[in-house]
Amino acid sequence: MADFTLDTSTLGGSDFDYAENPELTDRGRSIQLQWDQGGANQDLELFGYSVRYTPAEETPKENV
Amino acid sequence: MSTHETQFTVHPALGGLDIASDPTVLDPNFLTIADNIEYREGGQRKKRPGFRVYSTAMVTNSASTAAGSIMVSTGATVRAVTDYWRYGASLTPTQEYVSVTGASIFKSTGPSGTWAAITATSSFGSDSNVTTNLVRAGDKIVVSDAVTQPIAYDGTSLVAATTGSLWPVFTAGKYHLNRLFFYGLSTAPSQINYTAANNIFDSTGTDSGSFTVNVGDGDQIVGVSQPFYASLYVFKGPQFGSVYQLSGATPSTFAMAQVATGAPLLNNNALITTPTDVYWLSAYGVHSLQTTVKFGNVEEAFLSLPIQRLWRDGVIRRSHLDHAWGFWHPTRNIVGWCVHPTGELTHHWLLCYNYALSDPKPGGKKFWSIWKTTGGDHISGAVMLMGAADTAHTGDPHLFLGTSVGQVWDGDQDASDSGLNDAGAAYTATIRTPIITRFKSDRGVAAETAEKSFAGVVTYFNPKGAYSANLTAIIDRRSQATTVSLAGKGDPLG
Repeated sequence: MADFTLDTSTLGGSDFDYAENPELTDRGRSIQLQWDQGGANQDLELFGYSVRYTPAEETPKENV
Repeated sequence: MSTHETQFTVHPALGGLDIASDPTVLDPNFLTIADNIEYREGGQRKKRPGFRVYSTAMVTNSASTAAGSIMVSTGATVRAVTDYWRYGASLTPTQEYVSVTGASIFKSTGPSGTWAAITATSSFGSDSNVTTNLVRAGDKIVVSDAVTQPIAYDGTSLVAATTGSLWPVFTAGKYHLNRLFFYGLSTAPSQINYTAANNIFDSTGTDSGSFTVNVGDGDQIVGVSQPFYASLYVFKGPQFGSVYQLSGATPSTFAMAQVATGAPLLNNNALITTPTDVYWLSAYGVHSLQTTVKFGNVEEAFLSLPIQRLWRDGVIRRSHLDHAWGFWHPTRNIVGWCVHPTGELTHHWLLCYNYALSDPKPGGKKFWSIWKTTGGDHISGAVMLMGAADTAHTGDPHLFLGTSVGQVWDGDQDASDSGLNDAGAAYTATIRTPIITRFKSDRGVAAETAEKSFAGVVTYFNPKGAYSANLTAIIDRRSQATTVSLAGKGDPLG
């Protein structure tokens, strides 16, 4: 097992991580997500996802 | 983070492709697009492996034109390919790949990455005949295509049946009980012939024979399974469909019983036998023998129910389904079929079913994905054990694809091989979730009629390298896109 050096070594698993995309914001009733990876010799392995949200109006006011 | 903020999480994501249901009613675990991915044991969605040209230059992972990689010409169709192991009278076997390409029969000795015509005059049939079959029998490879006089390759040269009469013209054969069972006879569409035991060339002697299967029922014999629990399963089609079990160990004890009706098989090569089940692609969907016998040939029992739109809406080209062929990949836990998408010019979609994760019962979760190769046209293919051309993977089962440019692609290439390309060309892995309207969180359920103020997306992934994926969020019908870094990270402590 490799040594862990303070202020140098990185905490985090070697085979799991997460990425936050807080810039994806909007209001609505539904959401659909799509991931694409089309780079030459580039890999992709997804475990799952979370959607952050705040409950809003039970009865929306806009005209859809 | 807002004090009212909460999150809806799908992790682990345990669901497969479902394009038959409305995307608003699906469980969030499912996918509405699963292109060029495979499912790992935990349900992870991973970019599928790549392919590279089978050649002496395989390690370059490029669209190789190395000497010996092209059979006949770049205009020739690879009609069939198989893995030929021969023991003879030794415990040390020899391995060759054998292919029918254009109008010739080729071998790759070693297999070392180069192809050579078996003999200078090894002509066989025509390039346009894609109903070509290769079967290992009696230490030989039997080559047949329903039109041409069948012939065998014995590891040295091409040999005709040498005992009594020549074989009649037939479509395909299976090796069972030390006999060659052959069918799809040009003169008797519902007949199966078998040779004498221990001599596949004796098709007319006293120990050989034949039997018919429901002559005149409007179908012909299209395919026969590999031996499966001491029986062969005979599939008729292509109009109505029926399945028969042939049991017995000697001609005097051979017995035939019908076990299913419907789901007509269209091509012998679309019938796949695994150690636990027999799978086939029909005019109506994908089926397994186990579920068909238990639950019948109705749509709710089809393994392909979640992707039934491919057939019902003509997404795949019905007129070319008789060219579809299948494979079983034992280390990726998939069976798959190569089909021709409507509106395109080539056979390059591989419909992949992960049987290890799937529940075959009606209503059970099925894990399908569609591999769409870039720049390929695959009339044939097979899972073969890798030969000496790739010393890092010798002995590994790889999915090989025939092409229409005289070459064979070697699959199962991953990032460690610098091989996540299709013969040098990139391909795109895409997954899309259902339209999620009901949000379950630790604060209860947000109803589909209620608005939500979305505040971001978290992606859980396995770090793979210093690159990214595109992430698109469609909120109601408004789309926005960003990128997700896949490099992986963490914070130094200190």
